Amino acid sequence: MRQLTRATLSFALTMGVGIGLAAANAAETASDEETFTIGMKNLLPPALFDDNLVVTVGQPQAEAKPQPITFPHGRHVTTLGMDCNYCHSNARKGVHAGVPATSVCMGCHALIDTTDRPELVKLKDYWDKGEVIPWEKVHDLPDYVYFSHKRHAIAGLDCQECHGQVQDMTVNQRVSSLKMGWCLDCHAQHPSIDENYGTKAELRRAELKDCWTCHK
Amino acid sequence: MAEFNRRDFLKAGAVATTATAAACSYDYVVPQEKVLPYVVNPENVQPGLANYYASLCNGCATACGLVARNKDGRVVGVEGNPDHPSGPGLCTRGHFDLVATYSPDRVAGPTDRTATLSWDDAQKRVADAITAAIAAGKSVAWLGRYRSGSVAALLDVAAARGMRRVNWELLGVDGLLAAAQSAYGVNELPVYELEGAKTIVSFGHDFLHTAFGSMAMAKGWAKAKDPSHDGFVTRLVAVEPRLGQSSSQADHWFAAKPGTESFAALAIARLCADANGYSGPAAALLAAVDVAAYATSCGIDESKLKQIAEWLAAGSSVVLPGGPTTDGGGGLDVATLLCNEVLGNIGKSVQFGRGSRPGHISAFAEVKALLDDAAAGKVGVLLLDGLDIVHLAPADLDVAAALAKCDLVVQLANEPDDSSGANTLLLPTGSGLEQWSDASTEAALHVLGQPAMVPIKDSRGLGDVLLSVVKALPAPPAVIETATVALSPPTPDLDGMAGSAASFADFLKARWLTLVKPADADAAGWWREVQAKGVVATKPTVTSPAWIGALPSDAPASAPDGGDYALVLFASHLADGRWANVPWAQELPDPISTYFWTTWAEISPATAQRLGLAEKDLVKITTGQGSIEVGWFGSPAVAEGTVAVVVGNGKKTGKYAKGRGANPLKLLSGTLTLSASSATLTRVVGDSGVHALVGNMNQDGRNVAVNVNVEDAIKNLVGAAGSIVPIHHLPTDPRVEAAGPVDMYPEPQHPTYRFAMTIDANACNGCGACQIACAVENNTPFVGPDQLRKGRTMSWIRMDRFFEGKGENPDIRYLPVMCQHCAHAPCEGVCPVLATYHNLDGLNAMIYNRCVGTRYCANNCPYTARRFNYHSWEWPESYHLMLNPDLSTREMGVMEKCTFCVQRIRSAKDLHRDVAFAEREVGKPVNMRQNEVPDAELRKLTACAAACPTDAIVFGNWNDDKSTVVKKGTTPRAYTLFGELNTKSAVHYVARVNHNQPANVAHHGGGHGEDHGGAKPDADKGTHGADAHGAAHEEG
Repeated sequence: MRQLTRATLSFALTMGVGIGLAAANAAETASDEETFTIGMKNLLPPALFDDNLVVTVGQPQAEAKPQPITFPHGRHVTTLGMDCNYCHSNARKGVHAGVPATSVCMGCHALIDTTDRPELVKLKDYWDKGEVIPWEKVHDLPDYVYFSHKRHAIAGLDCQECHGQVQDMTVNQRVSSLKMGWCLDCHAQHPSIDENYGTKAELRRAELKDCWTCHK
Repeated sequence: MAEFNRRDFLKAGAVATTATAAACSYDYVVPQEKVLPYVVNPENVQPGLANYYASLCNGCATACGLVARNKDGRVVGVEGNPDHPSGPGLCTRGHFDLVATYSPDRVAGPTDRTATLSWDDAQKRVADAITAAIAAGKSVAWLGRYRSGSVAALLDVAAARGMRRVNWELLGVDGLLAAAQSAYGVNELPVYELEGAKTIVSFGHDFLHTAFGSMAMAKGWAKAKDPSHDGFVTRLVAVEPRLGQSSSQADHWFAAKPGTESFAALAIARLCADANGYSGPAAALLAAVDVAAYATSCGIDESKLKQIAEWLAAGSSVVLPGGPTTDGGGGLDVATLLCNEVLGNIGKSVQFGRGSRPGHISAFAEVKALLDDAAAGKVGVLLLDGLDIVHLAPADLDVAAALAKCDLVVQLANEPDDSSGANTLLLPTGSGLEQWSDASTEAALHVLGQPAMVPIKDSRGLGDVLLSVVKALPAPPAVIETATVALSPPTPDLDGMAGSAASFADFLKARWLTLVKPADADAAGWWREVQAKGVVATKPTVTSPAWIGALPSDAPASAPDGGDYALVLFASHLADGRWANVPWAQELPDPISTYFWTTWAEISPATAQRLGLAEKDLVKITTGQGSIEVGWFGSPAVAEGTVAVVVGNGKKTGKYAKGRGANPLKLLSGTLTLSASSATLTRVVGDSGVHALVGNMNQDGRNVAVNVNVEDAIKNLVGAAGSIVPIHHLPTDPRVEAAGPVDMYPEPQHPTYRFAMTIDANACNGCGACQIACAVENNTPFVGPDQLRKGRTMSWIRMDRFFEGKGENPDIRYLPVMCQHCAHAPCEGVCPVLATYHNLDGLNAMIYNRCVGTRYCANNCPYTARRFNYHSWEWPESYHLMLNPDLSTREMGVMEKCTFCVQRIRSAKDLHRDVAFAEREVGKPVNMRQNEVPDAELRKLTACAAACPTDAIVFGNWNDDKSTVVKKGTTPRAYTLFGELNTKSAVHYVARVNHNQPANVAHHGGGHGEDHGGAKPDADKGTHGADAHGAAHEEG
């Protein structure tokens, strides 16, 4: 019953908001030559980005998932002062930031005592057996989404903008919704666009609103 | 309040529907996935980024180079290697080979058909069987397809150690080789250079498709046909009973009585000699040629033969040999070489001395002798390499029984086929993309095939298996002599090399370092370079051997007797049947009939009428060997009295091959000659199930695939103004005409790119490489014959085929049609949910997630370019490994279409943005202009453009005036499809040039003199004004 009410409400809201904004955008286009429009009209009714309407991945903020090894991000980043890129070395180079190969862990941990440290024993076991560590995915985008990690990292975004204060976390936890509206909020107004594209920023913003920027 | 029009109503309604669905399924849970990093990251592998490996195409014996794209451990795409002489571009077979790699039928490991064995056990069984056979005085024999390079060298070693070796192919070159041997005393094939030929006469050679070396010939043909290349347009004359994919490009068609083509060729040779006063060594032979009598024998009017000779003698020329539908071996190939001899083509357009041959070549007689011996119990171990000999052999050879008499049949194949019997040991030798291999089909051409991924099954490379066979054979009695091709360095001790090699990769490398490496090169550095480039090609040497041959002694077969019709067989996409278990190959419509997934017979419409055939009827074809019942196609490209049947189907084994069509090879006897058997035809009432994917035989008077006249084309080259393309006009209301062009939509903005494509219909021969490359790149499923018959093809490119001529002027036109990415796209306006729209790059975007499947867009598309998913198609294990991870698969209820390979565009832009950001790091300013992808990279960006063997498809940025796509797309021959609809499409076609086409326009005169020979054809009465129509379709 609660869902039904919600659906009815959304319908009403969408009708009103969608039409109103479409009209407003059309007026804006006519008056401002620097505005780029995709296709015939300003196509994406912002109402569609309402968190309640877009079906993507789960809840806005997820529970921490139990991992095969309780990896303490805080100790590595805050206590030891390691850079994110040391382990996630593809973050600025690849489509996927990637989870480091076990060999990267062992680069240090081969020299670190495992006595009374069960999590390190687990790591050593995986390494000795040559088994892959089956991490649970925390940031999972739908398969129809193209997301290039390097594009965002090179553009000057901080890791924390999307991933939260990982340096304070033990097991990593998703703090952003990763929904389409959340993505587009940044694509519409992130300051790095102006920094990187200067006079072409408006064009870049228009491009970033194109469905084909992310949908594949 | 804003105006609330129908469009907004629909939009809002759709949003509301989405809202309801979304709200109700808010708790939808995405399955939890895992991240599985490497334990140790392999060198140079980065998840999500592709690696490229130069390798060898194993689709046929030609030895083209390819570049395999490995993404996340699996090869998901192949393209031609631009460093290879016949690259870039890759024909259908290279793509089929990739698909076959992931076949669901691939066996898990070595198997004796009851259990899977370990490789050690399996190879021990082979070695033991070889030892036992030799002890028992039986022979060890190899029966396989053509192999060159190191595998051929190992076969030489094995042959020297006593193994009987037969390399044969159904669509082989043994006849042509025998002709070259008898005519010129050379042990190699002629290389036909078509690029400079003003006249090409083909006697059935499938030179653009299934023939050995077709990639290079297709490129040469396209250049010869391009008026801007050398100021002429080649004239192609076909002398054969059935026009196939290659000869469908002919300007003139003369059908000799099947089996009598060599009479025509000899008469033409005599006429040419008379015309140019040939006085070479073959002159004496020609005196015996009685032109009038031969003309009567072959059924081609003497005046026509004179006309052909006149064309040939007038300038540079090539006479191509016989092919499947004309028996090349029966004297025809010698006769065609004689034509080239008298025309002075030897050493010019017909080249010897290059050492062209795909390794050891056997005639079918050797196959028959081997099988006869096997039937007599004289063969102990028979190794079958890639030949489904039970399927291929004629009816009067009981091959299955002969194979059963062998002690052990070792089948070197990835999946069982009709030749797999109870005594078969199946050793999966993997795909060419999974193993080391090499090929050398010319003395100066060596292609390296390096593995591009680890095998997906427990397979071992062909070379490794062969090496173990060699080691099981007794040591050689004497030093062996190899040199199937003329190799300049001294022939090394291959036997010793093979004996000491631990693996085939070692043997191959040792052989390359000995034979191919220049003496002064550093071995390690040179080998790295070879691996990077994949090919070592040096300038070939060409010699001009003297004619030593005689006239063909065997009189050409007279018109067939016993039956009413001459039976000729031809090959289409399935070739000799090796691709029958590749569903995408089965689904690729035949270029002529556009049939699929079956066997069919092509007969002339008059024959069909005489037999009283109804559309769905079958036709029963009976010869002395038996009969088959197949569907029929009434083709204007088949001579009266001839029935042409496609080979390749009729297999009994294979998930996709089993039970499709019938095997016409079983209609043949003894010598397995594909042409000119005789057959009787009878009508069988029933439902044949054949269906043409392209329903129209011709254009119904519209001008979709446009022809222009040769003189017009030559005088209106790149840079000339105006249009010479007559545009078909829809009947319109005079009031509309008076109002002039009216745009319903505002002009879209294209601030950076306007992606566009130019398709040169003059260079397109309908080969289908673009279609299969598109399917592989874009995860396009196969749908099967039942769905295809309902018109539910999912291929994003449709190959239109129109028969516009008749008789001697066949005028068969092809036109690849995909989404035209219109600036004013009719599909966009009718989408109620904005799932399709025009983006800033000029692409007509299609967002699958938004699509609700109304199909309004497909209904409103004038090009029929959109495809609807009636089902959620499946990629059975292991085809799913081939899926391109760069784009999604689509599910039921969603519309899809060509995206101009948006994932490739995205990737290219991404790399250039990386460059721009890297420059910023060192202090340079970054702006959008720096991110533009240059024309050189865009030109072959899409999968279809990359695959096109003849460079007919070019991609690029229409905003960039210097780009190839603009240069080619704005010539006077260029036009847009249905330009009169003002869709402002981004795909530009370049009209075909045909020697029979009447002039469309008054000649402009300027620029060129009037020295382009030949009488000017009569001006068409309905001449169109060029300028008026040029303006009408010009891009805004």
